[in-house]
Amino acid sequence: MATDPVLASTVAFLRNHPPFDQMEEGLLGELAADLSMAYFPAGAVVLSPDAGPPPYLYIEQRGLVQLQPAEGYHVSAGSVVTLAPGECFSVYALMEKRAVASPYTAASDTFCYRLPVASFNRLLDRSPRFREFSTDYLRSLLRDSRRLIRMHGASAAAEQQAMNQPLRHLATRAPVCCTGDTPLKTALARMHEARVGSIVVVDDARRPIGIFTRHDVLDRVALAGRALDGPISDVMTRAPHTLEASATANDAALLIAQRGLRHVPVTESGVLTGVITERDLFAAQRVTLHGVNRVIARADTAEALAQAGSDVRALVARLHGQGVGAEQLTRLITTLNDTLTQRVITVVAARHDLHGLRWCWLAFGSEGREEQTFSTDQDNGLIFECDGDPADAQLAAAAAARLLPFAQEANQWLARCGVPLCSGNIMAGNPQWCLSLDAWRRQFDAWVRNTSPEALLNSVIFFDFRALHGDASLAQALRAHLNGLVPNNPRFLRQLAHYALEVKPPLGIISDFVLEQDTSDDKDGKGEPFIDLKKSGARLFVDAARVFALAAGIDATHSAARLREAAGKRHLDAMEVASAVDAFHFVQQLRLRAQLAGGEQARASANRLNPATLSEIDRRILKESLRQARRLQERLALDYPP
Amino acid sequence: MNWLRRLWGGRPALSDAQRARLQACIDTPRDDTATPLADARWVVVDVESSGLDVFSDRLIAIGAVRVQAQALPLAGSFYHVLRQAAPSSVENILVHGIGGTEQTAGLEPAEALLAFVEYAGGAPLVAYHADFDRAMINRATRAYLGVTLRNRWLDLAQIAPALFPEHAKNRRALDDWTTPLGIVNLNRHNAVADASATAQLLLVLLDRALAQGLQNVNDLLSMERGQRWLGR
Repeated sequence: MATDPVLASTVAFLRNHPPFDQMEEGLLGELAADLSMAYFPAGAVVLSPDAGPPPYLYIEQRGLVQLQPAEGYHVSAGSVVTLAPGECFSVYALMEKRAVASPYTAASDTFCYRLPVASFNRLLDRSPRFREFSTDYLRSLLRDSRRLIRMHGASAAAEQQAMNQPLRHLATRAPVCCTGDTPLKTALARMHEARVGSIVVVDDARRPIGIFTRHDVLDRVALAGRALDGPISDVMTRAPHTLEASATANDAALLIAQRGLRHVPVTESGVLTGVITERDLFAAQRVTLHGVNRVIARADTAEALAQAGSDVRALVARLHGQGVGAEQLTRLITTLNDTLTQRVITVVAARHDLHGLRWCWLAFGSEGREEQTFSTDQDNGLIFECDGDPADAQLAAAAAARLLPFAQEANQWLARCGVPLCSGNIMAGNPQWCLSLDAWRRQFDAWVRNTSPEALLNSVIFFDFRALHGDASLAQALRAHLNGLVPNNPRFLRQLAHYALEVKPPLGIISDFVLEQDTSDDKDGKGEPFIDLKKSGARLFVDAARVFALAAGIDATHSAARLREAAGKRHLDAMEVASAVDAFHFVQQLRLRAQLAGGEQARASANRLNPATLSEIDRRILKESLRQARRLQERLALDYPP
Repeated sequence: MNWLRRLWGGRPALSDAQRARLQACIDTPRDDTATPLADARWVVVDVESSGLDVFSDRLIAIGAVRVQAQALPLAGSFYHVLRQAAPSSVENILVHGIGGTEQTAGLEPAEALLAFVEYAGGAPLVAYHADFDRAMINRATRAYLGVTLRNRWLDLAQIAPALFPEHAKNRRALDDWTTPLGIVNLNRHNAVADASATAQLLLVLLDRALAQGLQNVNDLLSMERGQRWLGR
């Protein structure tokens, strides 16, 4: 039936939301005909990780769905993500045909449209726009992030889009309203019950004639000593500013800012349909990739940067919850952390006189390898060059004396942004690691030629360096120096290889897990058995990749890139390398999951995982991943026999 | 048990094909009331009429949607305008928006009603203030098809306060229930749009009924009958 009002109103609803807003007209009608509507009361689980691959694509119609951290997850305000009407979930799980990572829960009474998985797949086949939306969902996020980073402050275009949304997308809650003769007491009770800060007073045709906010209670009711049984019309603000639902978020932001309002009634043809608040506008734009980037790009105080740091964590938790994979996620964390760090350095550098100095901020360790997870400490240093004789120690000392206060302040600011200070003091603010190019070269020479365990440990951390901010040519010069140095020192390479082979994958002879047990800090004497995913997991891949890369003079520091490039140069089997890379990413994903679950307090145990808590499938993949690590080690042992 | 009762007496003029279709309906049993609530199907109905008098006013349109297994499929709704000899009053047209031309161009009443009887099948029928819809439909089927529907009826105006006693005092009309739930009806007094809004209320009530431990269709019907006994 072409004029079926149920389908017509659904099509009209979908038209307002991406990707349906750009979808082919005929397909939209067919899509609507395949939908059914279901109801979820507050607290009900809409989509659960235990339920396996989702049977439907859910499109939130009204209400509030939250993406909860999975069971046992540490709950902080930043890690709960709220979906707005019109949002789809979970595109990822459907595309990948796997269960969602975290439960989607109705936070208030919610209606969702459900599209059966068969129709979803048919739509993928038939609608180029929908296919693009689904397959490019993450890719576009990453592309946007890179583009935004290149453009830095010029990210306004993408932001503009969010702020050009009509208010009917933002003010989606049913408005709390009453007529003018409503007793004040009733009106206040209604506001309290709905937990809103304002009530709109309407006439018989539901046109707003006044507004009363929680803010008004103090001076107009409490201080004025007014009786609560009087009509609300006595105390309301008459003829309030309103906006039509077709007005944009920008219009609302402007009105709110100009008039100092907190709540603006939204109308369709004069009839009340919603209320937009300052908070709605803020929430709409903040914890998105664009929003986070914008927050970072504009932050110029320690407080603002600290806020940006917590936004980054909230965004990552959200993306992880949506099932985004480890490789993309660690890249994203790295990209955002890089942006944040660069911003911190820029802002702090401007507070110091560094005129005439050429310097470059270096990242070491996992940050240098672009493999950051949450529990990563700061590992950084400075490399600089001064005019005149590079070997002149006095000149270098003078330059370091100017750079150190800046570097120390940057270290402190980064700590406030959620990147903890390095317990080993490997930081740019430490005079030991704020060196001239010449001094770094000499230091690297010493580590390669020296055979002490300490020198080896240092080389493992420092040789994974990467330029983060400043004059990158200094870092390139140091990399070129290292690449000339290492291949000619077989003794160093053999030591590095033996170091990489020291830790064995935690697999027994019959390939079951070998578990550790921590009894030291456990009160009842028996700790839970665990695998250390960093020490006995990720490190196996990272250390092997480093040996292959340094031996072949490869510039890359990212372990996956090192292995892939080494595959070309060192006759490693490309298929085997691909499997090793997948295995490495799986271990990283488990680490990330454990860290998100543990929350901020649990950094110490963040890499510990009891395999018994994994699903059967994940347990099998972990076993296979550790077998891949073993294969990689066997390959390394061929080149460097013990 | 069959869900249509043929009335002996009046013999409406039906074609042979229509008689055969009607007979097929008469031979279909009603849905089992032992069906678990989570699986049950329902047909949610709303009618538009020339007024509110069930004895003299005419049935103008029937809208209906299906609910099955606690979900409301958007496709396959039912809507027919019954052809009227003369349009209803202007005031009345303003209520439901079905204009004079549309009324006189509607489907032949016996055909529209037969289509509805087929659509309803043996499912329990649901409406808000169901007595009115029931009376209007039965008077029309009696006149044009010579039968009355024996489908079970569930009146949401009765069952909603029983399941949500906390709201029983201040919610009377359908809008009183749907508005706080955020159920948007862009086309009030269009029979399908109203049936769809009613069906969404049914989804909420089914969820509540299950949460309160009701098991099957019969439990819900019994609760509604208990509510009628009490009177409100």
